[in-house]
Amino acid sequence: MLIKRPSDVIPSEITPESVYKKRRDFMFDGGRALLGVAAGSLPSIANAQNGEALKARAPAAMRRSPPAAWWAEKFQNIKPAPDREPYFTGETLTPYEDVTIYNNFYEFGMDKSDPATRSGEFKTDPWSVEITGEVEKPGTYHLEDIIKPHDIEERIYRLRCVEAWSMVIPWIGFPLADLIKRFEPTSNAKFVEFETIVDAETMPGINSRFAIVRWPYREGLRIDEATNPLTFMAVGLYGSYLPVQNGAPWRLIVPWKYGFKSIKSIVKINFRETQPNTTWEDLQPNEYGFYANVNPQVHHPRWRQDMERRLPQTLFSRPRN
Amino acid sequence: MALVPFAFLLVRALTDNLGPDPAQELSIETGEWTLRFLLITLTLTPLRQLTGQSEFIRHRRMLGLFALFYATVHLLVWMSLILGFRWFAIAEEIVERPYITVGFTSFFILVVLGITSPKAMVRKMGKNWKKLTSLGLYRCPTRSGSFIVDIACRCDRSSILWIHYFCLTWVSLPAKFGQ
Repeated sequence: MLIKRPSDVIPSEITPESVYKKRRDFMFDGGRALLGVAAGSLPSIANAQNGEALKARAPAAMRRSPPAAWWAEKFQNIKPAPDREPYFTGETLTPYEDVTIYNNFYEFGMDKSDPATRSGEFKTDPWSVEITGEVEKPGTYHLEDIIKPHDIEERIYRLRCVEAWSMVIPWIGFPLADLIKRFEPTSNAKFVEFETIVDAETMPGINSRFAIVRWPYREGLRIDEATNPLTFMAVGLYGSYLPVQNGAPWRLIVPWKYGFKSIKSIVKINFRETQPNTTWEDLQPNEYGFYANVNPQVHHPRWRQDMERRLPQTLFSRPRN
Repeated sequence: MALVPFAFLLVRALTDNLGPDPAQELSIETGEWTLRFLLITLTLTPLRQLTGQSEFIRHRRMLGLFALFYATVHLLVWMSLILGFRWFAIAEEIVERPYITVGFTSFFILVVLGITSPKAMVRKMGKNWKKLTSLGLYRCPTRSGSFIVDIACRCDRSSILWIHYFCLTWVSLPAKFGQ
């Protein structure tokens, strides 16, 4: 799990937005022509997984109300996911109901359903974020000021847990690289460290007798990983606001690393010169490495990594390679 | 009675109520029930010694067989849903992962005990069967060990089973040496 892997994507390979949008229009029109149906009555292949179509697939997501009024405006204009991998995967999406009931978020408890069922008291607004360390513009910012300048776009990524299960989730948010640029890291900023909020009153797992984590939950990335165009700050999923169990109000998504790297409910971003200690590395150094890139050849001491269970599974499903 | 937990799981499976990851849910549940039945079974002997009631012993063999039943389901779930009947992977797991090695060994001991449990067989084996059953006590820590390593995060539930096991050894070991 300590194998370093550079990004597969070189910047010259990335399709400019104008080009992929054109392609999308082309496919949409073509699909309509082929099907010979009136516009909008059938979703075409190209737009089946984004925008309004996404919400139609997840009516529960549609009913979510914004954490605060300013969010609604931000969510009115969501750029669809690029049509090309790895920004998008055409694999079947994991239904909204499963994405929002099966979560690891130990601040709310250790069972998979705890984050969904025990997070009712948690408040995501107001939310401030401390930006510290090797940056020109440190400070404590309201989340609104952090998110406002960014365009919200969609990404469809596979989320792979080290426990050998995975989901395909349509996130919305913006690239972390864009955010980092705004705060102007100095040349000493070689790593980025993140921290999750600790609020014992609304997070019942914090003071649990069985808590094994030394709070706050901490994660980190090397600066080049943090600025990789795939690295994403998610503020929603299925076209709507993030549920608490999925890391509201905002979280990190690093699609080529195991899920525990994708830290939730972030309140602190620290730029530093040395590699930060991360929560799982702290707890079990022989089981979890700092890099934790998904690698089928390297098995975790408890879980094989050369197969995975794509959720939701039935009794007749088989793990896939 | 001993089949009630199994029936519950079956109903949940048939009504699609095992959640998004039935493999994980079923393997945890059947593993826990195996351990519970094992501990109950092992508790019956010291219970008789303490109370002098032979009533308990009559159910001991049956409960042991139920432990074997849950262990078998547990193994099947693991082989099919988690490893997809990939035999090479299954063999590799048994050899390479200590918690699976001990779990599988203890399953093997349970099978041997199960096969030799019919009355005729017991009579035939005489004293040797008693020796064999004492293996059961050794396999218990291995089984719990596997359980603890596997789902350390569920320590709230497994700790109850551990306490039970320690009480059990505390009671039964002196009894053994005293005889």
